[in-house]
Amino acid sequence: MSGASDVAGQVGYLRALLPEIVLTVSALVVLLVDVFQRGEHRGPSGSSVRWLSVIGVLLAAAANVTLISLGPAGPDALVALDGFRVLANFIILGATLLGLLFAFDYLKREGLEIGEFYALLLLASVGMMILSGAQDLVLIFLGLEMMSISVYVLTAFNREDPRSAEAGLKYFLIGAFASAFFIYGVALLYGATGTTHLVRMASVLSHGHPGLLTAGGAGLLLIGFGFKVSAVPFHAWAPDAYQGAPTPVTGYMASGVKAAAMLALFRVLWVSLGSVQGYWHGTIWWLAVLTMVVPNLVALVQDDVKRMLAYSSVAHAGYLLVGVAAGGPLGRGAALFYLVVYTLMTVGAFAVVYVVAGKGDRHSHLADFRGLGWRRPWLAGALGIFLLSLAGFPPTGGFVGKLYLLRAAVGSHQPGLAVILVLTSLVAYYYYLRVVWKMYFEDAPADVPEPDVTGRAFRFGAVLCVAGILVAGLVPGPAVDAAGSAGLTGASAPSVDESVASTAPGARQDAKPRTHPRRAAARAQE
Amino acid sequence: MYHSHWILTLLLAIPLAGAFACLGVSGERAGRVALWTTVLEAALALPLFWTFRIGAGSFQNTVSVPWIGAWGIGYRVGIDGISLLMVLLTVVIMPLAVAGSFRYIERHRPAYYASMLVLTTGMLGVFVALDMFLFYVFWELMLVPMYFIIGIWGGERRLYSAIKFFLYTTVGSLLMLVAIAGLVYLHWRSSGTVTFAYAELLNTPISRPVQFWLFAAFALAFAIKVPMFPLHTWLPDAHTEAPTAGSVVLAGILLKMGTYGFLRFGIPLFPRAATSHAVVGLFVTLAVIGILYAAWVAAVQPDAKKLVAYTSVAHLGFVMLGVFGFTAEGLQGGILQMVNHGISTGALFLLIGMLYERRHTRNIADFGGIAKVMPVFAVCLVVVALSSIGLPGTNGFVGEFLILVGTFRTHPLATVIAATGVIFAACYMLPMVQRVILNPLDRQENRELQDLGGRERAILVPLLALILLIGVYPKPFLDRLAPAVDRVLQRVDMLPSVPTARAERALPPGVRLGREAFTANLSGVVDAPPAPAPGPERGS
Repeated sequence: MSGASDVAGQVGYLRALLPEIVLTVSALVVLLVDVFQRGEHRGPSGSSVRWLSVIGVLLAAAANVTLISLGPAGPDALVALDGFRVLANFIILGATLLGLLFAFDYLKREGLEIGEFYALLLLASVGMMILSGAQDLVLIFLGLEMMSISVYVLTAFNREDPRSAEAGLKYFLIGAFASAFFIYGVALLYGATGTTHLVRMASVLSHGHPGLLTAGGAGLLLIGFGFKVSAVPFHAWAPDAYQGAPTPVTGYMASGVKAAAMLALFRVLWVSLGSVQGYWHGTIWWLAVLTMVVPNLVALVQDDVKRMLAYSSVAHAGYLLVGVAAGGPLGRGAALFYLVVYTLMTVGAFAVVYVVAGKGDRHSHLADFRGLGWRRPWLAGALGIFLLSLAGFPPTGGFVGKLYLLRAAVGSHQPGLAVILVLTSLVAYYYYLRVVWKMYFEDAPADVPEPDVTGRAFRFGAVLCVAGILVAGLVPGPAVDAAGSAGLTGASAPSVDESVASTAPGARQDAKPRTHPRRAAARAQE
Repeated sequence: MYHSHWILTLLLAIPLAGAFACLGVSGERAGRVALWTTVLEAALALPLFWTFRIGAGSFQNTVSVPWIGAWGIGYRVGIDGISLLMVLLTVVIMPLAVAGSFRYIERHRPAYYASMLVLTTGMLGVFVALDMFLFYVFWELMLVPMYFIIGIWGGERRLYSAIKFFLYTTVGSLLMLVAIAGLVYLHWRSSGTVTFAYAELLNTPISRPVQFWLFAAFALAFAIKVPMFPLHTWLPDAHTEAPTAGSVVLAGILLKMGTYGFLRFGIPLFPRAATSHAVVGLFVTLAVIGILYAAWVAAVQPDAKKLVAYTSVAHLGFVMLGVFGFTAEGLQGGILQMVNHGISTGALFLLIGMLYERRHTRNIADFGGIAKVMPVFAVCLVVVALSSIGLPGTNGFVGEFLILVGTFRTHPLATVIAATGVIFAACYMLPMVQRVILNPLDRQENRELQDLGGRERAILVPLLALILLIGVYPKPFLDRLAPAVDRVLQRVDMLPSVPTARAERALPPGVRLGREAFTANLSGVVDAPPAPAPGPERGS
């Protein structure tokens, strides 16, 4: 499958893959520097690997900026070059950066300062970027595995701690299982259509008569993705893995892994299987509903804040699936926008939890948060904003994101999804507010351990998260425009919401100069 | 300045700035910062009453700035007569509530006063927003500080009350959010533009069944807030557990958001649903049940604060009756009664709070005969209680009377039953007054009570003045309401289900009905029409 591409020559290929290449190189550099620095002795890694990895992420983000101006890749390209991929990359790189910033304090505290951590984190991000940007099921699978294997290791990174090891093993076993479903689904789809390329598969399916093989393939693919995005009923691993993993990794998993898998799911469904919605749309609808209802109810009775947040992030997968079920530019924009906000608030919330939990992550019980608002006003204030945003309260980004999802659901004639979304968020209010009331309404008894003093990197990350959430809530215009106009190569005209093509006149004008005419031309040639 | 339009924005910004200032200072100084902020706010806002152009049909002091361009969301604010009165009510009550907290609040003062100020912004925002997104943001924004005020500085069962308050109010508002999204979508489908602007969404053509669904979502949110029977159960808990100022704000202003929501959004946006027989019948019935039920329940409350809390349900029942009677007098009376209730119930809560600060009990049975030791307090309590009952000469009478007169034309039976609620009001309020300030002074603790001090008198004087002012001369208030009320009626008059014309024909010649006649009668400016026009005996 050699790509006949608009991007001429080898240099063009390299430019189109620049963010991934930069990140891979920096992962390797981090590994090498770490080896040479540490040499024979087995002490902790120096601080240079930390900053090297942060610089790597920033460079990759800069490289990602250059993608915006590149023309669209041809229809045969293995990796897409569209607004969807660029935004997905930004989300993933953002999650990586925050994961790194929050990991510094944690690794130091737990005595886990080993260079491999950073390298694995960067490699996992490369996998995520490939997963969400690839246009071929085989490449998607490669990205999925690259991401998953790195994250398995990261989950079990604190191997002294049995909880971490257990989480890693569980995640690995179930993840391997899910990969098998996924690859089997790919095989069936290949059998049905003769191709693994998303765009070509779409044209085969829209012309031919999709049969049982397609349905089976789509179903198995959905199961595979269902595990990765932790959709109910494939979510059972998630709370255990999230709770056992080192907390910064949990935040990274809950945001980055979910974002990448969710966006890949969106691409696969709406690009390659867009013409056979009858096969999967009902399933996605039910996955969304179950994923919204079940974890929200279970989270109500969790007394451990970390586990509660784990369930909450599973529930958020349900909200995101509403965006997937809505499809179209509105659903796409809603999913992208929500993922941006979701990343900020989830990573931030998990980070505050590890600070409160203290060494060994022992004190993440609800009772450990008593009086935090008066003992550590900044820390509690940050967590309060993260929780309000998770709950979807104005003026935070979580509210705008929910409204975006609601508009997508209503615009695609699925008011039922919208109503279920708000009713389940109502349930969620209770458990988010429970933390708030522990922090502010109750006084701390004398024996509550004092949370750690936070380092500079942590504070910087927390300020970044809070600022991002407030900006997304108060001036969401630019982000909404970017998300709403992000093109998806080969997206078929959605039939569920025939009427909700680019909704706003403003958004349409924004989108045009950037991508539309050329992509339309490319489609015409095809 | 008042014709340059940014005055409303200034009013929204000042409390927020004050809130940050409060967080920056420590202890008692935070209270002073908050007091000065709210006083400044009131000083800035009160001239609006005179600069407001009487008789102008459109919104005034409007500002419209794009906010989220792609979604047609803008910062759109403006006031009409209804908003004006609500804004003024808010800015008058807030300084009193803040001043009333000085002794009551002892812990975490900066956070408390910051919450009060954020709450002020939220409430003002709800009353001036002319964009559905902006409205919703303010609507939700004010929940969080209220949740904190009840939860941190409340009574013993504050956790339960705070969470109940929060969840009850959000059930409705979340469904309203879906309805807003639906409304925006319908507007987009018919016009091709995405907008959250209230003025444009009014023109959305909506089919009848869809109107019912959307109206139901809005109505649920507002009915919980009002609160209408049977959705009122959060209210007694929240009121009882909240600190004094919290109750004052809750009863005085927050509850008005429900009725305001009906007047501004629920009814004008979905007139066909709102005026259908089923909906009107339902709301009138629930309003009447609320009036009577709350009165009976209030009569047996041992806790003075809970008693007052239940009177809110009854009073707001009157307001809803006036609104859903769909007559000019009923609507005007309803809106005026919103203001009246804010004043008199706010004053009641303040008075009970003053007692509580002295005795740390609100049990009616623990008092008795304190008129002898607290004569000023006793006079204030009597005046406020009479205003709450609706004695002629006080503001409560004007509002309730207009409501009853107006609604009688469209729902005579319901009005007759509701009118008995006025009697029941006397049945719970007067015994309470009697047991607190009259009766023998037989307890040692009560003999040592101090009468109201200077600060407390200063808090009560503005409220007492308003009670009497509106009671004898409501014309300035009614004048400002008239165009807004007309606009609501125009929206619902698209359906000829309101038998205004018929009722007027049935009356003997020479009797003028309608707004002009009534404002004229009440204020005595125009010659009163001959006999049977039911003008009130003033000052009795």
